[in-house]
Amino acid sequence: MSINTEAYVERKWLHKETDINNPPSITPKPFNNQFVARRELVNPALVAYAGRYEKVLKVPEPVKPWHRAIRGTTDKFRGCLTEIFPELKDLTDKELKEIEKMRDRSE
Amino acid sequence: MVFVYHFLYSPHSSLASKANTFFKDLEKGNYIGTISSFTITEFLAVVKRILCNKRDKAVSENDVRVIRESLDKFIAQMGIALYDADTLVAGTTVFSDCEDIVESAVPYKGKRNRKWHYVSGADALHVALAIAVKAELYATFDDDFRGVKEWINPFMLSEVY
Repeated sequence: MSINTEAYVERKWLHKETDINNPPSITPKPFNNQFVARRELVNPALVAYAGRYEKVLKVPEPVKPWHRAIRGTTDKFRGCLTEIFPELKDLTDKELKEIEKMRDRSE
Repeated sequence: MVFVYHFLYSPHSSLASKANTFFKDLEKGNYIGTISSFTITEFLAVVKRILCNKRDKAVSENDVRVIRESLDKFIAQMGIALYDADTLVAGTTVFSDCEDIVESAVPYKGKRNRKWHYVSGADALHVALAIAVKAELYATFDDDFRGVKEWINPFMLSEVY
């Protein structure tokens, strides 16, 4: 399970079109993009716009968006499968660790 | 596995107690939980395996449906964001990413059992999906994930709680 605090990143202009009537007096200096993304998820070839952009991590919409939990959910579901399947009751750490090992072996 | 520990809670398991504390933190809003549909796949596979081994017979379709429904309800009531793994990886180079993750992951030698832990292909896929949703931390009990710090910060529940 992963945790994030900000799911969406908006595309931002780094360089606006200059106003023809009010051209800038000084030529803009070369710009270094400080944002370092580990993975570029948007194919740059698909970006058909002129101008320079921040690197974009486009996260699709979730199937179920995050919302605040209903109070008491943790306790309600604690051991819920052991109630449905009594044979799974009282598993020890050792047994659970063995299950993890089984998972490794299966790969 | 954190879901499995919680759903199979036992007072004899310290890891299950830690999973319970973690979910309480999530419930309070101290963290924002995010999973992908691949997490559900892993959950179903693990619970089916445990049940088969305990019963020494095959799990029925109805059992699988019940297991699945329990997780779906929990996710919905906990407010955990659920992403479709297929959508997340559409148009990406996910398998090359997994290859990079496995190649660069640092093997970790367990302090207690002195066994080596390393990132598997399925582990790498979880990491790639977590990166795809811009997750900051990867919550786990699994020491295998200690070696992926270059990609995402492992949130080792056994140490935090």
